[in-house]
Amino acid sequence: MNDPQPPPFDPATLPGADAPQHSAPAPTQPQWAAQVIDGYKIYGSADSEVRALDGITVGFEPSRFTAIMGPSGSGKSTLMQCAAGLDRLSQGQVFIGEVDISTLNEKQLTLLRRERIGFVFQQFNLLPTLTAGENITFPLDLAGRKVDQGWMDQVVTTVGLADRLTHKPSELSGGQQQRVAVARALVERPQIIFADEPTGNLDSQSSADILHFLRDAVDSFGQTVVMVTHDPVAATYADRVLFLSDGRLVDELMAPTKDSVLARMGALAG
Amino acid sequence: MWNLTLRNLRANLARLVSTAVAVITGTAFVACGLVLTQAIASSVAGNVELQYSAVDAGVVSQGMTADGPGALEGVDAALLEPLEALPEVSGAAGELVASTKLLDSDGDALRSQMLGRSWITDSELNPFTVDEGRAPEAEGEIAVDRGTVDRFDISIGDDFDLATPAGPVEATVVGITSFGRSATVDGGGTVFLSPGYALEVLGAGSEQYTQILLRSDGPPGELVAAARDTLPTNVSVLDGEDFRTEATASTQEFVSFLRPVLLGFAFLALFVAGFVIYNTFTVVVTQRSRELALVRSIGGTPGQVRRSLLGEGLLLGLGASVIGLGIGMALSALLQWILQRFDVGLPGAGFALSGWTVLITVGSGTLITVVSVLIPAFKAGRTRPVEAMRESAVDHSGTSMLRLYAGGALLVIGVGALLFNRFVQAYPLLLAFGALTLFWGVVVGGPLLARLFGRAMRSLLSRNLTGRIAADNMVRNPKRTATTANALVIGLFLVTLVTVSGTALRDWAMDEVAKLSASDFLVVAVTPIPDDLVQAVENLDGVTAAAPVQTALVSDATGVTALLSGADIDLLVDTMGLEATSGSLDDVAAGAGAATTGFGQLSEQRPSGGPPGPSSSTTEVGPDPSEQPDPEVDGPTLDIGESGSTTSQADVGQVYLLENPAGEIVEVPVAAVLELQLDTIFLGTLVNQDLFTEIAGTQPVGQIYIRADQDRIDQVGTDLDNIVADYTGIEVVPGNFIGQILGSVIDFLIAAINGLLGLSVVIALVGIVNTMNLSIHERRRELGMVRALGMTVAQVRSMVRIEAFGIGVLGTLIGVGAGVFCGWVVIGSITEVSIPLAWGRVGIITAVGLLISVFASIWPARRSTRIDMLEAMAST
Ligand SMILES: Nc1ncnc2c1ncn2[C@@H]1O[C@H](COP(=O)(O)OP(=O)(O)OP(=O)(O)O)[C@@H](O)[C@H]1O
Ligand SMILES: [Mg+2]
Repeated sequence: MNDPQPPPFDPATLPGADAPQHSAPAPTQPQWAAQVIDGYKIYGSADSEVRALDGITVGFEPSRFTAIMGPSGSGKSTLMQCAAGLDRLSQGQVFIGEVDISTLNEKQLTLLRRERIGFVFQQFNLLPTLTAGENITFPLDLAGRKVDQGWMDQVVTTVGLADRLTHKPSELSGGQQQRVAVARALVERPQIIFADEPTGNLDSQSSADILHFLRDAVDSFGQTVVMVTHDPVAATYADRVLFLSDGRLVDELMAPTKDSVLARMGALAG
Repeated sequence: MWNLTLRNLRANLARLVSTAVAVITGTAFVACGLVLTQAIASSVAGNVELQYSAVDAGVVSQGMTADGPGALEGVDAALLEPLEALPEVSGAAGELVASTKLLDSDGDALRSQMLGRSWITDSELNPFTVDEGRAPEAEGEIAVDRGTVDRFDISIGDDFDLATPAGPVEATVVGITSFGRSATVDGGGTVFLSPGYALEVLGAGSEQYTQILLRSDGPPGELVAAARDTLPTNVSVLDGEDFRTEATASTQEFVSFLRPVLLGFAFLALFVAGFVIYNTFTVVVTQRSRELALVRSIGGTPGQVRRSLLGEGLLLGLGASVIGLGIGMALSALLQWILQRFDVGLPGAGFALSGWTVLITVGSGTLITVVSVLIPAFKAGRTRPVEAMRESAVDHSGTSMLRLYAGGALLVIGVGALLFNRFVQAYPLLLAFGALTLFWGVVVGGPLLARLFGRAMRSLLSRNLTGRIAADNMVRNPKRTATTANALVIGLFLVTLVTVSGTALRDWAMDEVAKLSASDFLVVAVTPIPDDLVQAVENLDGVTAAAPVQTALVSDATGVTALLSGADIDLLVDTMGLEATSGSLDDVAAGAGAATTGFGQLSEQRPSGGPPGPSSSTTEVGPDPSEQPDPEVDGPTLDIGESGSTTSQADVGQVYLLENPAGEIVEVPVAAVLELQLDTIFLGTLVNQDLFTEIAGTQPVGQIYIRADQDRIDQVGTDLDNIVADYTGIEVVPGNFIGQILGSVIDFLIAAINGLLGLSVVIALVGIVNTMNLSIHERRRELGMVRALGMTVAQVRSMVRIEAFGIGVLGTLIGVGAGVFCGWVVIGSITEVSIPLAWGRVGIITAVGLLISVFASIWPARRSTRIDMLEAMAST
């Protein structure tokens, strides 16, 4: 009935959102697309508390592809959810661009997610009643924003869905569904895309496709991407890999290769 | 499997509670209806047993045995003495009962439904006892029942004004009485008068008892025989058993009418509850398909899965029905209490819980639950593990083509039959067939209608994202949407149908009745009208003509009793515009014979005066005087006899053989047949005053027909009301009164029926809320996802609200639409004359439906955003 029109964020203030650029950040831009400073996330009560995040400080560079790795239960999903404004830290600060999201109320946070953040989940990404095309434009429609048709065509062609737009999700394969999710994240040109194990349920070919699109978005359009993964091969698509253990940042790797990632992981496990 | 059943019930508690509400509402109503009717029936029977336990024989007027007690016609008081003198009679008493009111200092009645009774001096025949003070013995003395005394703080020695059939009197309270363990038998309280005083004021000088009670120390059979021999033929002697049965007959009739009506609505509510239960379990099954598949893959057989679900249904049904039973009993107690507060004492308030009540209530509640679970349980048993493992909240099963075709066909046939009924030829059976077929068409074709509606809604809301998604969600599972909406359809369909056709019937009936009435006012009485009152009416300013009519019940040679009236015929012609369709009223005026309407006519005798032909068995008894309009008791029944008018058509030249008080036969030829108009019905057979006296002896005036100055008609009405205000049992009836009464009776019936049907509408509301909550639960992942993507709380809520509202609108449109359509056809078959549809009322019903839909959308909308976004997305 009423689609509350959010006060649109001024695109000029959005670093990385105004123009596709992958060159060195301009000096006026903040150094981080998103940042978690001294973040704690504590579950449970005092005697049986679980520190999912334990004083973590981390930043994600704009127009870069960052991967997050670590053993199961190390806090990867928690970090991502807190950084993306899906959840709140127990203590600490989160910045999306220059906005401190701990100062935002629930509604402002929702609008911020809608305007500035793209998501790709491991599964259940799409609304079953909407067609692929409608799913792709869903966040824009929600915000009442106009779809940039040229950009939409470009994205759709890139992910190879041009002839599938009128299909319902139930008529698409799992890999195609994930491609729709990636297209949806790209089409709104968010300041940052968060992906939690986007290839976790896919075979290697489909995984490679998805990762390729994400990489391409970073390279061609200057998109910022943060991705949680368990797969060392997937991690090699990233510019930088962060390693988490027990809710802390324990290691970091630039320009990863499969072997270097495996080596670090082995070190962590051992 | 019981283990699994129990665990499932516990796990789905919240969901099942709302389902249980549907069952509870239905069964509570069943129980309430049963308990109430049972209480009335048994306590009345019990009271009568107690009240007349010592009676070995009862003497009543013949008119009384025909159709319940007739107050006007009683038993001659002079008959008491010879009866007392009989050796077989050990005790005798004349009982006289009439409406009487205790007035407060402002002249207003303390209680509206009080009865005056003659005090029975034979202590064995008298079921009442004096608690304090003494029995009334002289004029101006009364005893009052303990209930009234306590409630109005009355003490012995208090003086009161009383309104009585004989007009206002003053009396002093000398005693306080009780009846067994209760205060009295009369719901509205009792005033006792000494026998002589009672004859004077309760009988208004008619010298008649309502009935005479006899007891004997010897064999009752001899008593009855001896009494019979002493008495004239126009009174009956009943033995104790028959007498008590007669006394309960009218209540039993009331109960046997009330019970099926109440239960009908209760079962309808249960039927609607069935839809809700069916829906809930269908969703529960879909939702648990993975779990059920797991049970199957670890070795559970389809039978076990099915039994587990049926077990759930059984437990739920049983539990809810027992709760319903308890609530129903509480409800009936509450209802009795409320009625008591408003002084509408149900005959003999009491509390009766029989095994049958328990069995029917719990049985029907459980049965409907189990039956409603059968189909989902069967489907669950069929679920293949693979199918269930596929995770999706969309119903892929679709709706079978067969179902769509069948639904469409039923709809077409139903509409066709109804249209034929309206435009070509009306057959009641075809009407019923059409309505039923249409109804089943709506049920079977529901998914089709839901889909069409969803499509229309989508295009209507195409510019609004949340609205569009809501419309899509609505048809995600058209079967579920349709079943949910159908629960509402049933209730609103019936409400609309009853309202539309009932209103039309009312308008039509009032119109017909208005055509018939002739005199401006009619004074009617269940007791004799005193002479001073007759004079006051005749002398009233603005009254241009007033015709007092004497009435009596007479019997003919065959023993049939009917109403005979005697009046100045010319005066009557003046006041009510009597006309004859055949014969001559002048002959009647001259005393040459009787005029009759064909209603309440006597048995026809051949002109030869020979023995009654076979046709005499089909003659009917005239309108009993008790059925004369007494606005306080109930509306007059316009009894257009079932058999009468055709088989025993009145005709000039017929001869009635009537018995006079001396037991001689008087031959009365029919000299005129009256044209039918409303008030002539109350005349029965009309003769002039001389002939009347010859047949029935001297009788009091029972009716006065009045013609008033048309310019002062309102003033005359008010004045007349004032004149009769001090007399109980006498009422002024405006000429159009019957139409008005009829109108308000029908209106009351419509309101009462709709009130009862409202129950099913409330259950439908529960159904919508239930379905929406289940859908939300199913789609919680999706809801979490859209919120992560930036759908605001307001947007999510509005999405859910639109969907719930949409289901409600669907149900309202179909229900009201089908109801209006069927009602329109019904109207067409009542009369040729076009009666406008009650669009105003239809509008109100639609508004109620929409309001229900709004209510149904509030809770699910709230709930939809209460789910934890992350948890929803994480759950697998
Ligand atoms: N809602 C919660 N309540 C309590 N503890 C939680 C909750 N969510 C996460 N945790 C705990 O926080 C820790 C981090 O969880 P998180 O989901 O971030 O791990 P992860 O690194 O994503 O693991 P995986 O690789 O298995 O997805 C775990 O120990 C987990 O048990
Ligand atoms: Mg995780």
